[in-house]
Amino acid sequence: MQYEREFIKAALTGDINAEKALYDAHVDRVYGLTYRMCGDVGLAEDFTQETFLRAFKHLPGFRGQAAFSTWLHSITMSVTLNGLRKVKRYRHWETSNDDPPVGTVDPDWDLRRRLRRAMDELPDKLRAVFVLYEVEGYKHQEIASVLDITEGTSKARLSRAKDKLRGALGDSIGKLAGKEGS
Amino acid sequence: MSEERFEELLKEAARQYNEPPKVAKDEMWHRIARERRRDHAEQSTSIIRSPWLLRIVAAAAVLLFGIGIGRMTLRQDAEQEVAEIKQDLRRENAQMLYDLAAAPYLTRAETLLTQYSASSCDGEDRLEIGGWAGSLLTETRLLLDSPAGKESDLGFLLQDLELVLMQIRQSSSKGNDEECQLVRESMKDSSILTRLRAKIPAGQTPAGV
Repeated sequence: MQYEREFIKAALTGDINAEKALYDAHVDRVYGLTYRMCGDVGLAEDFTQETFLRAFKHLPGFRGQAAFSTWLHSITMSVTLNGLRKVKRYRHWETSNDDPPVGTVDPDWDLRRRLRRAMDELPDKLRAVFVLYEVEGYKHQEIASVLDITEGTSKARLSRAKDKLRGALGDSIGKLAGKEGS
Repeated sequence: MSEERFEELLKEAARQYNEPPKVAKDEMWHRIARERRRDHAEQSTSIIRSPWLLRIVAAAAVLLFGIGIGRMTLRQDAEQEVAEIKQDLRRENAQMLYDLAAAPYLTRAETLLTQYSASSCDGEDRLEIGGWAGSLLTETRLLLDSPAGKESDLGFLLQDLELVLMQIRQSSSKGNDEECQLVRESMKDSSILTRLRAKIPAGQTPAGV
């Protein structure tokens, strides 16, 4: 944390090595977020680069009130959501994954497939909360900071996202319950 | 129970959802670094391009230009002034030399005219006066043709004097009393003697007076 502050100070003076240090420390998480959101290597790389470029450019505006990572991830989500709106080539669940692996018998395979498709089809705002909470392990308070929404909105969006996913599975949940019970 | 199973499935699906591949960190960084270097370069040039700085530079340039023009103009003015002074000095010198040269001539001419007025028309000295008038005519022509003479206020006097001297020479060679009287009338009409005396510098004593 102390080192990070030093890197931020140095980066503010235009020190590109300090920018590289900040990049190295956060690129995995940023790239992970963008990829989880778009599911496309090219897009994820574009969004990651754009995120860091924007972050370095607006670094003088970072007041240090939140953690640098939270500030950076809010830029990440902003860049990603705007980017997804623009490119309109958001990839759904890849078709190759629609077929069950040869030789494996998985009774829940179809449920998983439908669940993943339903996740892809979630509206971006709901999917962002879902990914941050369920995939990246953020707390609602952090999600509120990252997405610039209230904590209550974050909870509500997660709840709506789960409702949609549940709805996508339909009566399979009941069957699942029956199977579990038998 | 089904809800719990759903949550399990959801968490499992979430973990596997769009699992990121290996990150091409270096490739991405190269592109970021390139952009950042360009940003830094633009920032440094944008300082130069900033409107306020441009205004200051423009004002300074105008000021320097003005000072340059001012100095050049001053120098040109001074050079012109010096040239004018030199020209004036040359003109004054020439005029002074001209007046110096003309002074003995005017004295001699005044003496001649005085003597001519005083002598009788049929006098014995008429031939001598005629010869004297001839030599003064040559000097008159030289003074009239001199560049300094063009700017001199002696010009009209010399022209009238040339005419009178010609008449004197002619009348002297003919010995005609009528012509002698005509010359004297002409001298009187043109007030040539009075004008001549007025031009003779103080201290110059006419010969024979």
